[in-house]
Amino acid sequence: MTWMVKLLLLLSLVSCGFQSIPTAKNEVEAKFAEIQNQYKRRADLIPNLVKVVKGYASHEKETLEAVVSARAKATSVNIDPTKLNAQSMKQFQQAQGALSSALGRLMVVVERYPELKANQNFRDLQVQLEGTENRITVARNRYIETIKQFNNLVTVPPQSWTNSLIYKFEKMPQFAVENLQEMEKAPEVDL
Amino acid sequence: MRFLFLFLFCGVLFAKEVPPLYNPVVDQAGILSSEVESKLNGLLKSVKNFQMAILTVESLEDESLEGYSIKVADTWKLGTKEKDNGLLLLVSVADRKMRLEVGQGLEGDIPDAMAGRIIDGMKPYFKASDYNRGILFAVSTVFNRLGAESGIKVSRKRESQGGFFPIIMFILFIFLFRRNPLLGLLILSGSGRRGGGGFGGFSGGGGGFSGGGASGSW
Repeated sequence: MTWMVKLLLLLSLVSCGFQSIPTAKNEVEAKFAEIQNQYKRRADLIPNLVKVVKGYASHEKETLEAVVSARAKATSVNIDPTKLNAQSMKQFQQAQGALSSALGRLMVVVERYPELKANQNFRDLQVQLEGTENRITVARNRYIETIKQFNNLVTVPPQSWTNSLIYKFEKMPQFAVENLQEMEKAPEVDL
Repeated sequence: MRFLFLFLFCGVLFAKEVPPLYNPVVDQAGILSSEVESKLNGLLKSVKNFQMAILTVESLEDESLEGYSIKVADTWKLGTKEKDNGLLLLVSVADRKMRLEVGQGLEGDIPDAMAGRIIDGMKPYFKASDYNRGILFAVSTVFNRLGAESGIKVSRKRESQGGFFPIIMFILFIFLFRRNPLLGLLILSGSGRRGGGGFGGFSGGGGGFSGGGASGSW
């Protein structure tokens, strides 16, 4: 008799988010770590990029310096994925967004240097940068999906009751894409 | 699970659909000759240490190249779950764009810069509307890179459009048919079988993609 009660209890817990809530939280953390990982990958490409551009376009000093300082700022903002909150998220996004727009400006300036554009090393770096930006987009989209899943679990009954009884997790911050697009908007080309 | 259904449902309603994967080559745009298609199908089915598929579409229908590419890769799950060794070559004819999507496990062997060079190498063929050679070039380069034998040799020389070859074949065929109708019919039925499904099915093994690879336009 007792084993049946235990089994029933176990089953009810399984179906009510006892397992799925922490699983979803882990998933969110992993996905955020992946975003950070890809942003780091981008930051790692920048020193080489700056070096190559400098060789051909040395008097674009201002643009280059903007990239370097934005990179320094972006790499200084690191978040522990287990301690995500809206504030730290905003900080992170702002720093990375500033780097995105500085990079965007550099890539526009580069258009004026056909020799640089023909350089194989530069072309490879450009492809790598594009690839990394694409990875960031993919990681971001996946994060957005997992966050949605997690937030649904902690706010939509009946699973949310389990959360409010046992885990007491709060909703996690969503990646604000509209704000991001504004920050990353490619500058107009003026030649 | 519920979430997954929602996701699938949305995908069907609002965005360009991902075609089912029944063969390594899914030539929706119909840009490959049947010989090349069956050759590539055979080749890509036989290779063991990675899994590659080719998708050609007429248009992306307002989807971004990268967005659609990762969606196809995520749906088809090329490569194995343990090694993530899948590759997807996507070509959209109306948009004049192509992308080589590289699975997570192959990003070391084919880094973005390498993928970019493969894409660059395809461009001259595609500009001349020689899609067969462009895709053969990409496949053979990938095979070389990953240490597999493709047996493909892509010559730089372009075949003249149309040319005499089909005409000669036609005359030869008529000649043969008149002399021996049975043999002629046999050849006819033989050529009709080309480009068919081949042996066994083809499906992904759960490989993961994270957006690596390179895009280009021609």
